[in-house]
Amino acid sequence: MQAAVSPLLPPAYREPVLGDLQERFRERGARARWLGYVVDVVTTVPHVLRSQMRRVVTRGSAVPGDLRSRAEKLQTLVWIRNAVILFSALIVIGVFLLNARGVWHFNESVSLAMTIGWVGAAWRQYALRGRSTVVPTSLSWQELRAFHRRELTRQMDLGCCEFVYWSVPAVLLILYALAVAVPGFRVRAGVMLLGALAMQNCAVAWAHRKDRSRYQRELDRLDQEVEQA
Amino acid sequence: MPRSDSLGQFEQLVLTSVVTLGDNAYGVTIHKKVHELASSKAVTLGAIYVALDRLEDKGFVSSWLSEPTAARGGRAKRCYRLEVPGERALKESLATARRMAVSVTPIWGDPDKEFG
Repeated sequence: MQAAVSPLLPPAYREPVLGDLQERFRERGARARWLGYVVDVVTTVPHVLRSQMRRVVTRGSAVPGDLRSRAEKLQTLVWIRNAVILFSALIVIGVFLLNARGVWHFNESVSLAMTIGWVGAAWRQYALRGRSTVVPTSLSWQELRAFHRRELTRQMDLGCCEFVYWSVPAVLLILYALAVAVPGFRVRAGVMLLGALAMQNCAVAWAHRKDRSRYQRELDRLDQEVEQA
Repeated sequence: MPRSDSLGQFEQLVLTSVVTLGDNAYGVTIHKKVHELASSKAVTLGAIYVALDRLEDKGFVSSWLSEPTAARGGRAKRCYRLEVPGERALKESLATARRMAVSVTPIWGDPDKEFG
């Protein structure tokens, strides 16, 4: 249950909120434990998300000076980015399911190929490799700095390789379907689809480039702080 | 935009709980205390977090993470402490409530007899 709830919570809240939920779970009688836990989750998670969103909006991009706050802020932004991307993956799946009703046509094959590509890449990239982590408590300044640096580097290394890898089977499937399954194969349609995939990869690469420069500034700031210290 | 220093009723309850709990003020204990103080209302744990975040943003309380404990599955507590602006705002609210009580008691009688 906790494993299911944990990714729903922003990293800054994850540890104290899960701890509070567990404490309340233990305090209840055996009969009401699970139901109480579910009720607690349902009434707590939306409030926490709302509060986190409000904080992000009202504080804007200003990063607090304290190192721990900066590390938590980074994890929160990573968590929000991942939530948005994974939500978009759900929309892509929904669109595919809407298209897939009725008789299977060529369009459905293309939709399936692109859905697999997008969902697979988004899952590998954001849910596994670039997932957010909780900033550990009780770290010395040096350890916290090392943790923050490691996390910044991890996010910088994401790139758009996953999207390129996952696009390849989609491209092959589309070309195969065009060449074999469609009578009167038209090159123009294939080029348009490949162009759409290329644009998607370019958009991901641009977003990563923007993030990379932000992470690099934070790394430079960390180095400056060490020099000053 | 000017920052609002006035307190809503729920914020008053949360701040009062933080004051009375002292060093043991964190999510679960604050929720219990608020539930006890607001006897007629159902209060969720989520509402407590929202109020605490808002109070922290206003500078009325500050928070820190305690050491992890086994009872919480090895997780830390986020503990809260009242800050000077929070103390001032709560005292102002109490003074206002007291003046209101003095004004209306001769007309309505003692509200404690009805709701206490």
